[in-house]
Amino acid sequence: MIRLALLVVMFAPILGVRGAGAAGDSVASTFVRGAGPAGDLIASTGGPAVMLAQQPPPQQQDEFIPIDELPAQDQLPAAPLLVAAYSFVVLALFAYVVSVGRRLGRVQQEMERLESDLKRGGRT
Amino acid sequence: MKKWFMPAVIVCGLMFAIAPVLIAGAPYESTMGLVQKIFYVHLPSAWTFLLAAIICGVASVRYLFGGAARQDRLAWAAAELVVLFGAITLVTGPLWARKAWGVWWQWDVRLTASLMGWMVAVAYLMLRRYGGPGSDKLAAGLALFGMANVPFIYISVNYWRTIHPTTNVVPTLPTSFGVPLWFSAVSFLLLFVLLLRVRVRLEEQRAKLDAMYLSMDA
Amino acid sequence: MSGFSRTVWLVLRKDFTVEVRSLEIAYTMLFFAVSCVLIFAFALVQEGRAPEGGAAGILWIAVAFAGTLALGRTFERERQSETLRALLLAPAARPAVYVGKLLGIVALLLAAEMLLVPLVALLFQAPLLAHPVWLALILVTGTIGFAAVGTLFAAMLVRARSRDVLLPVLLYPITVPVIIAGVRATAALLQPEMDAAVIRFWLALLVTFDVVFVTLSLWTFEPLMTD
Repeated sequence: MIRLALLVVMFAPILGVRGAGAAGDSVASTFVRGAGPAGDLIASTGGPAVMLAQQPPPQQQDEFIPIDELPAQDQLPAAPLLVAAYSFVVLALFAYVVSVGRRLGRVQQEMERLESDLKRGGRT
Repeated sequence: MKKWFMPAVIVCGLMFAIAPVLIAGAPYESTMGLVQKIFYVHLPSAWTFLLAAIICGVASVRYLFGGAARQDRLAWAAAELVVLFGAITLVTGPLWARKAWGVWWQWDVRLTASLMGWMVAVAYLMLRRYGGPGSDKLAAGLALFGMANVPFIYISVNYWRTIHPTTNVVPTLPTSFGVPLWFSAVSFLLLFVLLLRVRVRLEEQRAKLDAMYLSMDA
Repeated sequence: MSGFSRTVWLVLRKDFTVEVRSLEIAYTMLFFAVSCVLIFAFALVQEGRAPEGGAAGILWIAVAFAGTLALGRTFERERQSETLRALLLAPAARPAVYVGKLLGIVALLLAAEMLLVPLVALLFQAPLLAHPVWLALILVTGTIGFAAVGTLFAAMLVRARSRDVLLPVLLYPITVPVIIAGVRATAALLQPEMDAAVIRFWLALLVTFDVVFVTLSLWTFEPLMTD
């Protein structure tokens, strides 16, 4: 819960994230609205560190699997995720195009066969 | 096929060839770094997903209330593309979230609503595939109910929990991010139009084939 | 208007008479719902302690599962004896037929809930019966919402192939808001101090859902049931 709030606060200036209590049954949602002007996007590396210092230490999580330590960007190598995402996109689109193409080909073939059958049937 | 189709295919292919260069050339986003580049496919596919869903819903409603078979074919084609682009959105999203939020999945409004919308589209396709004769009307009814359901899912999940970048971040993007994003979005849109056209064409050919069989029997 | 309510009453009475004769659906559905809850109890109750907040979810899952079964069976019976066709051929308003069917399903589900609530309360040590009026309101509105969509879909699917599988496949994604709202409201009811504001929000959502989906069903029942 708290860690999630930390994450949200971290990204708030960059994304304009609207964060809320994501864990537990707490209905009261806290809105963390980042100002998110364009300039902040690139030059806000100092921001998260300052904000981190102000947060109370993490206490407990109810819901999600936490990352072990903050900051998150040092935790996971991003490249495999990126490669996975892009290869999935390419594969999915390719598979769909192939599937539609094959179905279209089959229907076309059947039409031609039927047409020739009809012609032959008509002559005899 | 219409005259515009082949040129459009070439333009679309070129755009998809250029897009990776633009995306690679875009500066790294400061805190998320490399993983932020997933956005260049995630966001456009999510928009296309939404557009396809709207087209499917509108065509279904028009078909249900006395529309022509053309509307039904459009709805079916759009539903398939909902599943395709929905799958892309729902796979790329968690891949980004794993890094940015530290979790694969969150029960946030948009995620849940997208997932439910995607599931309705899958159910739609199953109904068309396995429902037998008469399933066209039923599928149209399902699409109508799926559309009506969206606000309820939004409200219920929103009250339940929320964490997702809001859309208002998009206009604030500097051009170095914005250009690849919009380029990618236009590519996806063009691809969507082309795929929709081909898929409708498939349905038209099937209808023609059925008509041929019918005329043979007669 | 009197013609409308008369048709509703006749459809309802017909279903009731047929059901009372064998009680087939009532018994099978009740037994199914009870076994459902028992399976959850076996799966989730450990060392005699139920998981916290599980009762609300299990109650609604049992209702949803049993409801699907009841919907399927009700219309399967109509299909086997070709009575739905006769019903639709009759010079009666289609929406009235729908409302009659809906009321029958709702009555059946409410009867099942009367058994399920004490059972869940007992097995999962949940104070479900502490606020009977609130609970009744939540259950009634939630059941109507679930059954409104379910009745329409089950009626549509009568003519479709593989209808047994397709009913839950179509029904569950659409009824997600009902399940969320029902579970959350019931969970709020089970809190040590009941949060009336939260329950009121969910109830309002459920009522809106009921109104919208009953209206939509009435509106689409005619074109959907026409061949």
